[in-house]
Amino acid sequence: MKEGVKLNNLEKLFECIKKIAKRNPEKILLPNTFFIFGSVKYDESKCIACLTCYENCPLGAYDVERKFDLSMIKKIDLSKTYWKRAIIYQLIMEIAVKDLEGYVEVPEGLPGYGSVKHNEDLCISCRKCVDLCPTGALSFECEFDMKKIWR
Amino acid sequence: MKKENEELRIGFFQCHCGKNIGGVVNVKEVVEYAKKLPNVVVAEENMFLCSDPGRNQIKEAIKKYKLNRVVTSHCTPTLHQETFRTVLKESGLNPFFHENVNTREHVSWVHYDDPKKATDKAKVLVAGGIYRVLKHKPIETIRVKVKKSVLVLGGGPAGIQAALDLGKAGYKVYLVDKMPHLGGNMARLGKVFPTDDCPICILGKKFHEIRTTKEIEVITYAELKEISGFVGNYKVKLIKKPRYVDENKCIGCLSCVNVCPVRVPKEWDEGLTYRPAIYINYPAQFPRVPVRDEKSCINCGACKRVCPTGAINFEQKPEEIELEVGAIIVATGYEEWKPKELEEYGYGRYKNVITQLELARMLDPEGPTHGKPWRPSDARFDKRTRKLIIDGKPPKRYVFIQCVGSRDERYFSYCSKICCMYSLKHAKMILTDVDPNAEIYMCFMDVRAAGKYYEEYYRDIQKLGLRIIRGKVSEIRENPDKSLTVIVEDTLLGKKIQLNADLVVLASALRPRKDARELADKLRITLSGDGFFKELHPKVGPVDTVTAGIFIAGAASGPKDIPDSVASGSAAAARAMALLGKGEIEITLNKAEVNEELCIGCGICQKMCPYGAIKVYETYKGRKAKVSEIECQGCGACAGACPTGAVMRRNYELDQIFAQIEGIIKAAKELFKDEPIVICFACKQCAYAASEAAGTSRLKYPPNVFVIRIPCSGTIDPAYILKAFKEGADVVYVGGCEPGSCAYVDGNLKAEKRVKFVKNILDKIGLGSERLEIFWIPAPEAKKFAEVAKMMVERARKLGPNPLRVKEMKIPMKITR
Repeated sequence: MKEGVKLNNLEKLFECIKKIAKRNPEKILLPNTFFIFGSVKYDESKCIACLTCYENCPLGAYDVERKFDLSMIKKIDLSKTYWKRAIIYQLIMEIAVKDLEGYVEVPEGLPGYGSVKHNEDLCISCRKCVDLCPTGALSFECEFDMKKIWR
Repeated sequence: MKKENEELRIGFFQCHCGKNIGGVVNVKEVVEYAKKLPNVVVAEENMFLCSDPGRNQIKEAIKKYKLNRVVTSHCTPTLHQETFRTVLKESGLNPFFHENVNTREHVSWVHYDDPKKATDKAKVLVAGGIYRVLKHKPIETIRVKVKKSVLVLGGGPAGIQAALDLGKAGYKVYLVDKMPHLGGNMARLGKVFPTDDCPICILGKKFHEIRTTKEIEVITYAELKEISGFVGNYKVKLIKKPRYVDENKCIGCLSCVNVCPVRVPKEWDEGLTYRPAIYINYPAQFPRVPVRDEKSCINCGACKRVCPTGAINFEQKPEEIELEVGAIIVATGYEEWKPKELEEYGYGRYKNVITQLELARMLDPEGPTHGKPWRPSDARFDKRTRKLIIDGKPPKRYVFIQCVGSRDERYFSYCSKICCMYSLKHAKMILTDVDPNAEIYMCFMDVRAAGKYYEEYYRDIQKLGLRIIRGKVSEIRENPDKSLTVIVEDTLLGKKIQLNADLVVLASALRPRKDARELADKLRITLSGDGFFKELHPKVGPVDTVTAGIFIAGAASGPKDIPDSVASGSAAAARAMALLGKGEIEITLNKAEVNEELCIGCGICQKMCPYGAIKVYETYKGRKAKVSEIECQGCGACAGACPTGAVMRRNYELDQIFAQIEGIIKAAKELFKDEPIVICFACKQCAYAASEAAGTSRLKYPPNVFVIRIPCSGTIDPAYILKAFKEGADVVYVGGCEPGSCAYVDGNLKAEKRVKFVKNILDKIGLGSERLEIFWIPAPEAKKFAEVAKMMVERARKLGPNPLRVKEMKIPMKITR
């Protein structure tokens, strides 16, 4: 655990597990209702940078990345993305004379483009962001990475 | 209404506008061209389409050819779009099945030297209109009940007039003033030009009328706290400050004022005289109820003891008043600027340099000297008698300095309009009532006596012996005896003159009230560059604002004299009556709309809306945005930002603008083969208005600039720009209002960010950011519009054609960068 968020009880729990564990399992599967453990997964291709997660995270575990990944446009299945995004991506592909690569800077205060960065060390797995995410870019994995304990 | 699979039948009508269009554009050619465009059933021309025969021609064609879409090509939509929408409505079609093509301001008036190209441009614009109208959807109107009551903020001459007009017409009026009484700045002037009658007498009559009009409720010593709701149904909260005197019990005997032992400088007299802690500002004030100044009161209780009705209550608390009104008239007036920053005049440093408002207070017959001016350096406050003692000779030589702060780029670039007249009035008052032998010098740049009886007034005063000097004062020095030496550069004689003065009077600028910005934010209206409230249109909407149901009157929108203030008060009242008269209003839903199937409830639109009109709600289908159609002002900032395309600005929907772009560029590629194609997205509030002005003043610019009208630059969607490039535009630019003057708060800044982002994309994908630009083009700047158009065409020539267009033309591709 990093400094900044000190969850004493959690650390104590980790110590206990370390003591009693005989082997070192990679991952353990948890029941869906089991909070605290588990991790948030972020899929950048689905994200629309509405910043709902950033604004609602109780611990500030999200950072705004003011960069729009151009190469992502090629990877996305346009028929599955949102209507206007598909139009914009299609137009960009059609008018591009260069290969779609690199990042485009997004001006500050322009929501809808760019991405967020999830800082796992600050996350307490409260799942608020996952519940609020309108696009399904954030999902919750009920697996717990045991490496976290051994670290 | 559109039925399923209904065949779209377009009628096209080209107006000659006498010779305005027909003299330049080959109308026959345009009509023939339109006939070949898709779905066009009939194309006709008319000499004056907006006249009765013209409108009847459209109606008959609709009947005869069973038209369901109409495109008219004539002047700007600002002028006649509504006319033709009504024609459609009368013919049983939805008014929004109409599209207006501007072939006068954008074609014949600006390309009069090149009829061939002008005709081609007209064809291109017509093609855009015809492609666009195919995608039009019906827009409905709804009816909303309104409250037949009006809140008038400010009890000066404008506010009083508005309240009386409305009250007498049977509307409930709440007349609110933040002072403890009505009258405004007018009550502070000893006499008023040009008839030189006393303002108190005029106001007294008005006060009597207010008293006898049951519908008017006067709320003094109160300020606006907050406002919610929308046109016809505003909910207003006022804070009534405690005056510590019960207005219902007080009989106005002023015993309390007479016994109060405290004396402090009187703000009403600009600190020239002294008042008790419980005071009235002027004897004729309405309501004649004293107010206790809590800060200077020593709590001796003398007033309480003498009050015959027990009206005085030290325990009064601020009171919150809630009102429901249909409209609001803002008549908050002006403030006089205190020219302390203008160091060469020494105001604030030299005691005997005063402003004209201060002189007006001295000249007031109710003042301590009964209307005789004095030198402030001679005045002292006698603690024993608690009176102002003036020992010293009355002033003999006066120097009036005009345009102090006004018409000065450093302070206020506008003319304060009334300074010339009130200075003349004060000169006249001194020369007739006080001292016929007084020497009065007036140093001016120009005397602007424009108004009924004003020039005559100016002549009369010259005959009385006012000495006028055309020139600017460069310096004022104080002599040991506190008299002043004024050095003037006489521009007519071409030399420096030295004047000695007992009193120097500065005609200081009128400035907006200090709280104007705060009030504008609360009311969601805008300020113009000078800080006064901005009218909807300087010519044809002088009392309207961008927010429906809120009107401005009097000097709140710019310096005005009393006749103008009263006239604008009446005008605002009439506008409010026109709005509320029927008891309900019709609202055309030409605004934002949410497609729930596409909406994912991300809340971006909510962040974008400057009016809080679109919000995300929890519904059984999940989180969805919803537009309050009454609160929405239709700027489209939400639509431009929506990532999924769920939010759309009706009549400016993505496919409609796409169709217009397609139509324009398709035709332009054919008709402007070797020429660059430049697309301009113009905000209808400013850049489009500037393009109209460019037409009116016949400013030439290259014909290959095609303007697409959008409600606000904030509507701009990256998709629009990309689409234009995709179709083959060589250069695209967006025209918005100047920062701070956007009619929809900050749509222009939102547009700037989106444009910046698309520019970054263009750089990365190889088109180059030079092909896209955003400009601030304010409505009156026709010249700037023409210059920008020229510049962008030049740039397009320099950059070479859009690579996509090159591909199509099957010419080897060459990127010129």
